[in-house]
Amino acid sequence: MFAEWNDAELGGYLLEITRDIMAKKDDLDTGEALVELVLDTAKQKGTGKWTSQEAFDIGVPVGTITAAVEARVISGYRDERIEAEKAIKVRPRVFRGDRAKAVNWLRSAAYASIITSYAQGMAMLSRASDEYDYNLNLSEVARIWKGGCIIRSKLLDPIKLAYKRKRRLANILVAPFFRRAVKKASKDWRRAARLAVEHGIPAPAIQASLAYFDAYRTARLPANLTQAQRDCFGAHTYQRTDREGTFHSKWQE
Amino acid sequence: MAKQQFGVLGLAVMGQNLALNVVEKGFSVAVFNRTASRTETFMAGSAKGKNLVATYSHQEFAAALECPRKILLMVKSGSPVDEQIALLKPHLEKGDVIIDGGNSLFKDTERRSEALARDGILYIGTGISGGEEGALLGPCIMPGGQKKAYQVVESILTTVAAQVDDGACCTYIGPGGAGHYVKMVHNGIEYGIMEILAEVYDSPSEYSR
Repeated sequence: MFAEWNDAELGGYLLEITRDIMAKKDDLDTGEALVELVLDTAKQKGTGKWTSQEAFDIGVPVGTITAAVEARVISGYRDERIEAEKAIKVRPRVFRGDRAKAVNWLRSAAYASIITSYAQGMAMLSRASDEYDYNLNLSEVARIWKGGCIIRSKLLDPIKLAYKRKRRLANILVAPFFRRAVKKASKDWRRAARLAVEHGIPAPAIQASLAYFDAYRTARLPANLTQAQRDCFGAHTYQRTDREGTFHSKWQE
Repeated sequence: MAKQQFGVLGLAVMGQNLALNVVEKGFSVAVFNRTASRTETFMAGSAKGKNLVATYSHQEFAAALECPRKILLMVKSGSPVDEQIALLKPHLEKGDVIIDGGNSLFKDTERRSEALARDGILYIGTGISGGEEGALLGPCIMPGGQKKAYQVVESILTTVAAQVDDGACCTYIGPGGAGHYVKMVHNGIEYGIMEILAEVYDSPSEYSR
């Protein structure tokens, strides 16, 4: 699966090493795929966590990245997870669908979610550039990421071009290349997310990516209710869609 | 003795491989590591026969380098960076350049940069990505700080970096902690992609194969 994907539009260093890791047999005597023998608690050295913390500080949504940080954090609770699996019996639903179809869904989901991961990171850099007067050239940043680094992939050329065409691009998701790519993938992206939900498999980064995409492309979000609640319990005031000014209401009268 | 063109302080695997990469590109290098045994192992191993000089104190290290000194600091982020800067500083002169190539927090980089600027020492907070292999063969280099400081080391960094169809994977990122900031976000994106691939691998259709 990963080998095939790497040859196509998803190709990149992380996919390449994932392909190789999948193919690696244990050097010791088990005869198993080595990856299956690796302890499932992931380490994190700080930069991922810092990205999330800093994103909160400057007010940029990076749900995919935060989901990834949290996935590592919860992996660290291995003893508790082992106990909880015994305590909370949920019969796993067995996959009985067409595997070839599911693989296509996963491929679209991975593609669109990875685009979203880049989109959040680039949007964060764009915001930081204003916040700290870095005057970043995001086209150049994407260009130097094309080689040598861990996130090099085929997506960086279109990212580079998107920022070259429009230096103040709000988000790569609205650039023509990515708009088309994600739109095309979105049906299968949802199917893959549903697959995980229905079978009780945690897929926080894929789902957070989809939620980000859906929120970002939605003109009207339910934050109106949030504002009404805030005004109701804390007199935090609100603004209206139909007229200028700041309002406060006695909601329970 | 002729002075070396570039210094690498800190010989964990990234430091070792970057030193070898710089030598491979035709620059002379002096290295220094806090623990001498690591330097000795390195000199007797992969550095053997290369245009690379081992030194065993901050003073000797600084004395081995041509001026303005160009020093790549490759130590663990956090207090080790401050410690090494403090130990190195008495042996440096105005115009020398320190490149912090570790994963330092951008706010620390800004603080260090300002403190060193008072003594005329230039500081470049630099994100370096590529893992062990990238360090040896050509990493992606994200330098930030004063532009004039970058210009002192530009030719070395761009030569050492990975090369792609539209140039070297190294460019001046921006002032202050911009280089480390961009590297931080790079790593954030990396976290995202890794988790997405793990979730795909963990999908029900893959399980029941």
